[in-house]
Amino acid sequence: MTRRLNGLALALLLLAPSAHAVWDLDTLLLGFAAVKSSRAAFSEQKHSALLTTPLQLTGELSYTAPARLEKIVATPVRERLIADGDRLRLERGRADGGVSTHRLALDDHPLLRPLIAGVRATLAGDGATLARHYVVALNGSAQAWELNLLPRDAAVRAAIVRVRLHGRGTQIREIEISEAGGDRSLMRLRPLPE
Amino acid sequence: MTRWAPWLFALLFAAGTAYVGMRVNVTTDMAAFLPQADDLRARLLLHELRSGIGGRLLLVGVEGETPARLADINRALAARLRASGRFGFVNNGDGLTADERERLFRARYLLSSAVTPERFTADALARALRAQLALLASSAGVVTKQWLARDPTGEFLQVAQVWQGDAGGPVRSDGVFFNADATRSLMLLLVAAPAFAVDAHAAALAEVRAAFTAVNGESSARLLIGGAPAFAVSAQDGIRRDVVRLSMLATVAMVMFLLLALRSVRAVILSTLPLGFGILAGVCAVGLGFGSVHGITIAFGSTLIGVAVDYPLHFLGHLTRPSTALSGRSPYEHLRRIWPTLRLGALTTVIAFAALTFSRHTGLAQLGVFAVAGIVAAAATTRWLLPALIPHNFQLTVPHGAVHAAFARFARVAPRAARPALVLAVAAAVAIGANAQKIWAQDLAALSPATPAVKAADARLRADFAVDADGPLLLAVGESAEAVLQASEQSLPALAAMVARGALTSFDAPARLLPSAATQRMRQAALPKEDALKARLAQALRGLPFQPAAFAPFVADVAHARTQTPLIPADFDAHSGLLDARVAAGVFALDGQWVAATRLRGVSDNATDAALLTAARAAAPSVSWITVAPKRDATAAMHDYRDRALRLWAIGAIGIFLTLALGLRSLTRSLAVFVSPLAATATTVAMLSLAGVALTLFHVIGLLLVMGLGIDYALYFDRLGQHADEWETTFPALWKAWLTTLLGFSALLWSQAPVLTAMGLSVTLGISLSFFFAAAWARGAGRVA
Repeated sequence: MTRRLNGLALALLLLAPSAHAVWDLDTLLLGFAAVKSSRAAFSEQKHSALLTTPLQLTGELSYTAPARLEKIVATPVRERLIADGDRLRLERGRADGGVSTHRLALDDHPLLRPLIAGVRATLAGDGATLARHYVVALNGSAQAWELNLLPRDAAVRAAIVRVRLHGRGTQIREIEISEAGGDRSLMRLRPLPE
Repeated sequence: MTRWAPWLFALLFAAGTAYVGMRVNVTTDMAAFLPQADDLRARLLLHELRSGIGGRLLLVGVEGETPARLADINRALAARLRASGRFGFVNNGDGLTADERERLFRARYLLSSAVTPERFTADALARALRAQLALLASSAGVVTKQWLARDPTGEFLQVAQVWQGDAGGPVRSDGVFFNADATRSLMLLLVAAPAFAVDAHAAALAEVRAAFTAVNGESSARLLIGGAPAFAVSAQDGIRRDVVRLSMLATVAMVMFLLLALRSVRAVILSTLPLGFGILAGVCAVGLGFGSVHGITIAFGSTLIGVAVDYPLHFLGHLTRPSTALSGRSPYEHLRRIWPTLRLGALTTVIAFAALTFSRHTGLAQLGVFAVAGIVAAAATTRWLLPALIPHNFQLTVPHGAVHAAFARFARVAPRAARPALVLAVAAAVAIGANAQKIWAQDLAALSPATPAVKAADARLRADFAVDADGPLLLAVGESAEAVLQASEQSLPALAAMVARGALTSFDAPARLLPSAATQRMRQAALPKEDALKARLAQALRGLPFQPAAFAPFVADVAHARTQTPLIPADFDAHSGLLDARVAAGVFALDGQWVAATRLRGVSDNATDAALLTAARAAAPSVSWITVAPKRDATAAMHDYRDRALRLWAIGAIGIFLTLALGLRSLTRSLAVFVSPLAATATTVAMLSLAGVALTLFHVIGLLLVMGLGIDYALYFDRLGQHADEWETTFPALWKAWLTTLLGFSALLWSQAPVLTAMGLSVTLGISLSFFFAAAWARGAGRVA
């Protein structure tokens, strides 16, 4: 609670000095950089050309500075994806109730890196990483901003067309991933207290 | 004879030069000097050392900067090299390229070991689809989704796992290969040119260096290059440099020395004629016999200059003043006087080299043919051409200077050392006998003429890439690729059992990468027909939120796979990537047979070999099974090499002795002459050994030449004992001949090729000792004027 208030306070402080101050990407990222950890409950809808109805997922997304992002899926399958730096650990619930753990290297899965980077770098306030993977376009204001990320790498663009982040202040409220071929996923986030 | 000899020789010279200019080309492939062997194991060993794909793979490393900077340099370098078009592939961080993935994907139903009838029942399909659904929901779904519509049962992932499961090798960091401690970024290049096109390889290497310089800019990064092409290019450069440099060096030294020794430009020119004809004859003979001449043969041949000059020196020596007893005679008469000795000397040297012509090594046989033809031509030129070109009553005035006085004093004093010399020779013989095993070289790499820098870079890069050429192999040898692949499949259970028992850590069997055609057809038969598959799929889709039409590509692909042509090794011949390289390393043709090679890792002990062979033979009796352990077998090959060398030397020595006995017609004299070069040989070997030089076949060849030349010295010292009146003419010629040979062969000591330095060292040391022993034991030499 305190941290979130601080983040918000900081954002307000940054905005306060004058109405003439420009609120831009750097300001937004600076705000995020001050937030050292955050948690949010999500509900995600995955639309696919292969499916007759979208998949519905629920779970929790948590971030710890500087590079740890965790996605804990509760329904319809139990799964935990932990991205810490360059290492990826995937824990999946098995039919027999046990858990199988897979370690993945981001280098082996060239699509995962930009996806994780898009969210994690934003939460970390790391403009350089964002710029390396994406062409970044920011719209809106501090109260309601939209970050459009277009992948730079041609191979990644062949699979992922766009990543769109919606938010307020230092909270991401929506993550939308649009894939080539028409599939997309829309994740709505509700911040949780620490 | 006098009149037409010059014309005949001129004609031969013109014909020879024309032939050489038009027909003869020079090769530099070191394979001509490597051991060859008959048995299959040795041939397989050599194939491992020089295998086709390995012969084109370049290992590149960049070090000396931070990992991030190294990665950037690596990527920039790779981009430039890909654009250059000189390389089949440039792999700086891919496991499999997109193209390779596509090939595996298209053949997934043939390659996947999970394809059985049970996999395509309605129930199994339903289970697979439910798992795919879970994957779609998962974060991993973004990866597996691309194949879902065409490959719901996941065959491609099965296949990819087998292909990408590597043991050891470089790690990937930031998308680029690095060695284990991240101090060196790595790259694997396949040169587009075929394996023995050394010039094309040299161009490729130059491209790499130029691209690195362009990319590197100001930073302190260093480039390392290893791999077989680097060796071949380094060897070729070295040999080419040697041929040019040594020929020039030897020629210049020789001409200067002759001018000093003979004090007559005409005499010097005459002296070079036998040498010129000798080399021409040598090159022609090798060209006629082998079709091409090896660079090392030419470099070696240019040092035979030192030998070919002996004959005119002896002849011209006879024409010097003062020799009132001989004045007034024609050059022909002078020549006839010394011809018997000269002929015998030439003959023994020829016999020494004739032994080489029977060797199975192309390189050695070439040396033998070159030497035989060269020496015969040089002697013939001295015998028939020189007298025709020398005017009657031609006489050289050569004052006997300080050098001659020194040699004369040496010849006078040497007989006092006769007994110590005997002690020395006997001690040497005993020392050799006691340490017989230890004097020989064990390491095949000692024969490579690449520079030490290239060898060191290659060793470091091989360790980084875990290119394990030393690991033991289990080989199945048979009539066809299919036969050996089936045998490899049949051996898989036995190999797995050994791993389970702990006798092996792991293995790479070719059948796991490329199943036999029979197995592929079996898998094809396991795939359901199109209508049946559609029905089962419809049943499996019940209750699942998939679009019914989503899996039409899957049905089409399975239908296609049912009639697909099975993959065979020939499909991987393009050598356009690691996929092809791995298949080619596992299944290949050798001398009309096919071989399937399984690489073994972590072999616990030697008993494993025997156990494996028994199990493999029981599992697949229709092919032959052998094991090859490159490190162990290379040592055995070197021993075999050494035994051949000794045999060659023995044959040469016996031939020399017989020739001697026939020529001198006296057994005691023959023995007296034979013993000094023999003693010199023994002492040379002992001294080399003491100095830490490991002997190879090429030292032995040098020692064979020492026998041939040493006989000459002993013969002339013996002759001096009988004809004291010739002291003024023959003795100067003798020490000048020794000195010219010494000068000629010491040029070899500066060569880069171990082959040549070995010969240079053994000959220079050997003939010096020969001269000493011959002088010490000469009979009647006390009567020095």
